[in-house]
Amino acid sequence: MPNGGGGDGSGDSPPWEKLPTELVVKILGYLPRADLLSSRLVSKAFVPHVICVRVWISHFSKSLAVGLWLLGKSVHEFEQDHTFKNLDVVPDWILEKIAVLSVDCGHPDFVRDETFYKNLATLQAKAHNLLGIFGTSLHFDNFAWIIDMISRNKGLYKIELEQEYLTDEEVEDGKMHKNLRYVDCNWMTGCQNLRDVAILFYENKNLAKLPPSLTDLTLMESPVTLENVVWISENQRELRNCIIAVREEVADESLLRHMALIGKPGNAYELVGLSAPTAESDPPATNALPTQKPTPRVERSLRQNARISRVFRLAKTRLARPPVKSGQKWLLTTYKNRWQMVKSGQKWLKCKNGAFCDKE
Amino acid sequence: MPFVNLESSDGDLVKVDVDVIKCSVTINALIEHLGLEDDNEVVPLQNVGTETLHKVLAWAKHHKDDLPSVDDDEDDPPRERRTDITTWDANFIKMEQIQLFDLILAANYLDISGLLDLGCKIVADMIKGKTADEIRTMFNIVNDLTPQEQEQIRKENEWCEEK
Repeated sequence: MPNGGGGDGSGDSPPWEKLPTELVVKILGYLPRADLLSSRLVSKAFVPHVICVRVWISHFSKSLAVGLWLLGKSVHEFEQDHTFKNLDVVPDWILEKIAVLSVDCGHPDFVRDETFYKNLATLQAKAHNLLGIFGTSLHFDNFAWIIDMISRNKGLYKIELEQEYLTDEEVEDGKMHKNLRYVDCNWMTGCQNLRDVAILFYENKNLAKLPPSLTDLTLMESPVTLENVVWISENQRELRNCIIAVREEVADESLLRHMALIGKPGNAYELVGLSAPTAESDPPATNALPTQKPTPRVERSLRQNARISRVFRLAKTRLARPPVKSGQKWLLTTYKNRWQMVKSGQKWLKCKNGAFCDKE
Repeated sequence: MPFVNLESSDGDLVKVDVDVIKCSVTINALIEHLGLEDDNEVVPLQNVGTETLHKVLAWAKHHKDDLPSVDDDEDDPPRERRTDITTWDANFIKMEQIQLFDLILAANYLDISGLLDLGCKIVADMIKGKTADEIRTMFNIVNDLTPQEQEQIRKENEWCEEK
């Protein structure tokens, strides 16, 4: 074992302080929980982790997990679960550290009783440092609570709002959501830190109000119009993972050709293997392709969409850990076919059936 | 057998068998991408002193025939990774604290994962089981936490401790 030593005594900064954060984190990664926690008492900068809290409220649990995080990355094995009936028993300084909030009202067994609303009120009053919100069926009171939470948490990094899934049996029985409610992207305009938005099984409104900082966008159930696809390609320049449902007539190569011709996004030329357009061939700045109402055939396909969405969800999970970290991925889905374009190095690969594929 | 000349931050040149230093992703990339085929080419290592460079090379020579390590999964908690240290490595790593930290920094700069892992595990072992006071003394760190801040950390820690 090395000598413990006490520094080199030269008056320079201690060797420990020369280590970059990434190495400190690597070293601390080998410590058991008790040692990591006690090392927080060494000095302000010794452990670059901070205490963060996650809260789950669902039909199967009301729990609060406290753990150490580093720059938004949690140290999962150090999270300690606490169950609660009422958030009133949790001290304010813990509630203020809630970073991730997950509320699932979608399950048939979930009861929105007085305690539930009391807990929501506590969160409204105390949780103002949220980084992520994951909500299922939060459309009660016409989304009033979640709209208020989003407005109070300007530092939100991720918002995922979904309506409950339909089971396979329900899909086979032809059941579908009768009344798709709207998630209005206007609610998120003020969240300038927002990087990841997922709206699942809800319609969406005012896509153009999303802040232009997104790296991940998932819009399922509600088909995105060509106008909005073009808006996304023109304005969401940081987008890396895009999973959207589009109408059939949109999701063919003519869309990509259109995007290539208007030169946005910049890599659209690569997407379809075109050269950059010449001045003579520059198209008008706007597109006027009409959108159509879903045909009966599309309506039928819509009913299958819930099942397909699960596949997308898996695909998204895989996309979150791509083999090519710097790659830009667009997954365009239609009701009928789906395919994705994956950038691997300098080469674009086209993959069918939503499966992530790292070879041609 | 091809060689490469490494120049330490002290200005000393060390001629190294490419097979020995292939464990360094940084130097490997330089050799491959810059086409350093001439034995007289020099690779300057501005962040690695001569003494540290010799230690790196001693480690690299001993591990020359090791199988390449499997990349760590980012989601794999480090505590669950292999933590055993061979007798040779344990003897090799016996050095003063300042040398150990220089070696870790060099391994990081040269991107030698095996050596970096070894150094980090050893430092973690030095911290294990010690009180905050003992860690401060060992690493010559000044306590800049007020009593109130320490009390707050203790309260926070209680929420993270295993039940």
